Amino acid sequence: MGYFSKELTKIIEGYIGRFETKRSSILPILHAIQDEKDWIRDEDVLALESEFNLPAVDVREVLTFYTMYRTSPVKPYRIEICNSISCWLRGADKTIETLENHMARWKQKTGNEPPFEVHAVACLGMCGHAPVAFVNKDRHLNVTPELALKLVEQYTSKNLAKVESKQETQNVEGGH
Amino acid sequence: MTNTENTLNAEKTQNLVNLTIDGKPVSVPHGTSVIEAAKKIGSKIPHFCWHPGLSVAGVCRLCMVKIEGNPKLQIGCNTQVTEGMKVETKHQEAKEAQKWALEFHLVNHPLDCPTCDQAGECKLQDYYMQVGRYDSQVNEEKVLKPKALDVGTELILDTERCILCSRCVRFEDQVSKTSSLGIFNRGDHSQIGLIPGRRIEHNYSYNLVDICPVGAFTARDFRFKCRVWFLEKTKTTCPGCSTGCSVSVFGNKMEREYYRLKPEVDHEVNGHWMCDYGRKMYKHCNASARQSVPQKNGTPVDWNRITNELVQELTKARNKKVALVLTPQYTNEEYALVLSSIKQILGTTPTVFIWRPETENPTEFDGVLFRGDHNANTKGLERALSQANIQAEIIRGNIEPLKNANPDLTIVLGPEIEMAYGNIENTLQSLSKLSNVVYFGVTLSDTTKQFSLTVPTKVFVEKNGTYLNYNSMPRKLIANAPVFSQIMGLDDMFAAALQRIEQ
Repeated sequence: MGYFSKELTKIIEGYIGRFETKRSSILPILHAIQDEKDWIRDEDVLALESEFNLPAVDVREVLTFYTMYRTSPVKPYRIEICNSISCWLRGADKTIETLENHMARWKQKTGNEPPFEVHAVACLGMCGHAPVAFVNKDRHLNVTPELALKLVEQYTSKNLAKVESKQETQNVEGGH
Repeated sequence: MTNTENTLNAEKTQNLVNLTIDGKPVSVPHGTSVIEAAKKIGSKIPHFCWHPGLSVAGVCRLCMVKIEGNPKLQIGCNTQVTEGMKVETKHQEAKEAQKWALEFHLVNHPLDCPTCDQAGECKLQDYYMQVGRYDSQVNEEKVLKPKALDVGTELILDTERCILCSRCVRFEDQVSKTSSLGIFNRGDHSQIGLIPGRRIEHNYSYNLVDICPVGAFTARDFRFKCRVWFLEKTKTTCPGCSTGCSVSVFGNKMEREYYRLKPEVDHEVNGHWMCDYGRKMYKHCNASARQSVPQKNGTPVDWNRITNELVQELTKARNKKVALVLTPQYTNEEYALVLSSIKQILGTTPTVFIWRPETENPTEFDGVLFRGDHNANTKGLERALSQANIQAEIIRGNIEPLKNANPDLTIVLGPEIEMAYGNIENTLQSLSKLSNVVYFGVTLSDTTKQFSLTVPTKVFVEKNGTYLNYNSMPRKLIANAPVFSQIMGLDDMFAAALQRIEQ
């Protein structure tokens, strides 16, 4: 039995055979691991070395170079708000600021870390409905500060992974 | 068209490319880089990341040169020479580019030269003197990174001093083949590092200190011990194993103290590298590890009287049984001299024994440089004995064969590097039980006091001579001033003894 799940192992093996050099497969493999396990652990890197013979140093170089690989535990709700030009013109920075203040108040009031995190990201390709946001993998349009607060309340109070989702609830992994 | 044809013909006929660098014509083989061609005519192009023993990375952007007909400057390390190329290394534009490249290298450098061991042999310092901007415009805050990291038995890593030339990363990939180092993060947060929990623990780790152009990798063995400008180097040969790498021994002449060894480029033997075991070869040369005066039955004897004592011992043993025990750690010249002069004094050939380490695997080879035969001159000893027509018996640890020969006088040329012999104390003990022993050796010990005559010998860095390496290739030893000014070498002693006899 390998370190990774059967499905993930299959995906990794597929990527390794696909490119001219083994190193080229590191990028998509890390994405696949992150998709399944939410964030990438040191053990994952070591397992890639021991099971697939990808040098741990090479993997770590790629992993630390790109900021969109997550190397620390994630919170249940990840809110990504676009702050590229169109969304920014339509007030994305206000939305981000509102959510950040909300996080601070949450922490002050309850003494706990809020169960969501806010990230400003680059263009999500829906400029016609700016500002655009992703909560986990759900897309939300015209995310004004008011809508953003409402979304946070909806997601956290009902403890649902996805509000308008047609897909099954994503498996949320706790902290390590 | 004709021009191209000419070029092709020239390459076909002699495979040499003709170009001019700084106005000087130079012919180099096809495929040579500009930086190597410039080196050939003594034009030094500043560089950090290029190293003759490693692949080309082209990351430091310091080796900028002006090439006629090229709109932009080119890096000398990754530009191959072409026929008729006109290169200017000291062009104003190139100098300007180097100046700014250096300025950027220094943006996050901590400038802790007063406490840095690299100071004095640091490429950042050297090039700043050469092409630096003396009025720096950097007043941004520096990015702070981890310092004084314990990354291996021989190494300390300071990631702040690092300029990210990637020489060490390529060394680990290409030479030691351990691939343990990488450049993590990006931009000005990039830093050299290892996978958490791992260390650099191979036998070639010290080379990282050598190839590091700045003070990022420093040697644990040399840290904070001596400023490099007090050191003088002697080019000689490493006595650590039968490979016989060309090395430099660095010593402080004022203190008469040796501090370190570094490899010298020798393409026939060691290339650019040497092993960590060889780096220890300065320790037995220092006064604290050595016996300084001869001893007769445990009482010190003046150096002036040592020839007398030697002659007495030898003349007493005329027409008696004499055994000569040799170790493969002396020079060819010493073997020849000792064998011939003893024969001349005694009138007969002594019974010769070769004393070798108790446990060894002489055919072992690690694939890079280090060999299982930890004696520098095994081949030389073999040759000296065959030239003198002597059959020698090998003894290891157990000296039964020597005892059985029942000699009236035993002359032992003990090992210079006792480390290679493991624990020699037992063998020394059994040797001291023999009736009449003259022992030549380097290291001080209580057992050596029990011999009838104990004579200190010179170490490799104090001798002139040659070793034959595993491949029977001769390599020179160059003598430095001895640590003990009065010490006599085997050559002096036996020459004086011969003279005394003839009188």
